[in-house]
Amino acid sequence: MSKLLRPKPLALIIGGIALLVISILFVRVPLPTILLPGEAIPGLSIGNFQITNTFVATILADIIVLVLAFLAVRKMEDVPESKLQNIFEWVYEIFEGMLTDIGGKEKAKAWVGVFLTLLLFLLFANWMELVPGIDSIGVIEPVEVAYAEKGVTVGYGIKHLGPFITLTNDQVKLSAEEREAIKKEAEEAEAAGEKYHPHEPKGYVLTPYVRAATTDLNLTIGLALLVVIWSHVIGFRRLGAKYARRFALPVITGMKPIDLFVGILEFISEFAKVISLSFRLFGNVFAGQVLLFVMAFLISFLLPLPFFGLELFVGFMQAFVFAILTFIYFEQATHSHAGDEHH
Amino acid sequence: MAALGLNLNYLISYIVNFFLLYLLLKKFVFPAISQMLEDRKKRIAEGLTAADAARREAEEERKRLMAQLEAERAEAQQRVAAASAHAEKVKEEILAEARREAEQIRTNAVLEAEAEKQRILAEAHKQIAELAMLAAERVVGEGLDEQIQHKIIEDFLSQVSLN
Repeated sequence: MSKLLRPKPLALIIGGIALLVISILFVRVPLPTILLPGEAIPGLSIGNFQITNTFVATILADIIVLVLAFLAVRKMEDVPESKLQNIFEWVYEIFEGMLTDIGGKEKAKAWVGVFLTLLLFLLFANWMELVPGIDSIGVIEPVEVAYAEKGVTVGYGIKHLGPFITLTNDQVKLSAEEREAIKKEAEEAEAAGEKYHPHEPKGYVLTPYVRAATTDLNLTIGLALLVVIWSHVIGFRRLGAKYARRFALPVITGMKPIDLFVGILEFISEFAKVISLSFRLFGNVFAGQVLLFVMAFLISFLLPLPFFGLELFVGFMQAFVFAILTFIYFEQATHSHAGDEHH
Repeated sequence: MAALGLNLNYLISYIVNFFLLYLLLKKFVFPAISQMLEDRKKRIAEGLTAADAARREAEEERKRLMAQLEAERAEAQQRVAAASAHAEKVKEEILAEARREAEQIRTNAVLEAEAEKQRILAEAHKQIAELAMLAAERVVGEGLDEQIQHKIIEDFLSQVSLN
């Protein structure tokens, strides 16, 4: 107790409580619109390709990884002056060692690249949800348009702040009749070949420019598909026709009935791999983002802080789990089921 | 599927995007890092080996010098021992010589003394004999045959000296 009564901790505690009170009484932020699919950014598309905010985040994560990596190896020195080079060497060495422990030197050397690319890319993709304010900078559009396009039913008022427009905390819910009317109007506009725009918007919603890339199932399923198919390619390249035996494909004669059963299980497990890889990553990061939204919505100051720490950890952990599982799948694909391999 | 936001275009674009990232990193970044690590490992190993060799060489050199020093010391010692043995021998020789000379001198002296004694004795004999002869002449009055005289004296004297 006495420790808490010293000036410095005391000031911190009082300041913290004051922040909490201020945020409860005066600072209320709107709850961001939570949508499962990556949100298309209004008015941003390349040809037919509508750019979503998760896509922007993907490109950003690419750029961050590439810039850091290229800066790290731009001027390689034997006695590194650059911390970045040090960090990259350290990361490379640690994970190559870890993969060597799992799969041996040759496999670690072959796939450490895939592992690190996954790890780095997913790390920055996951951590992008932690950038303060990233979910509050975007395009504001009428809730009616958002409803017609994405099914959003809750909008907010807007307020002009100098050159900027910001959402206020005045919530507007679209009633059932209003929704019907919007649907009809939107269909009419489409039939006329126009872009639907309400005459007098009741509320507005914000679509952030950037949303953590791994909160888009397209990315996680895409990556999971890629690495699982990749593992099969590796299996075929290393084992040839023997690899097919794992799935009880009729390549090899002399199969026992049990092989067929095992083969079916193996076949199913390949789909399970894709689903578990993709939904684990997506679920964790998406849930983390919603958690941060809700915490900021409940009490804007201080309360979200520990959750940022938590999400920092979750972001790393999920990236690591995805990468290490990928390596393990690759490694497993090189083991023959015919039992003629010695370990 | 639409509710989950699944869309084949996005899916493929993400796959391509990741694959491109992978290719770029694999082509330009990872080999550089692994090359660097390998080179450094090799250099360190080389340095350590060289240091080891240098240490071993120095150790050998030290041993060689120590052995040489030891040999030289032993040689010097031997030389000193030889010299001192020689000195001892010379001393012995000188002493023996001196002793022999002293003995010689003593012997000579004894011999000389003996000779002198003999000479003096002989002289004394002669004089005593002459005195005795004179006395006897006086007593007898007439000169005895010189030969007989001498014989008597000799007998007497030999009896005296035998006593």
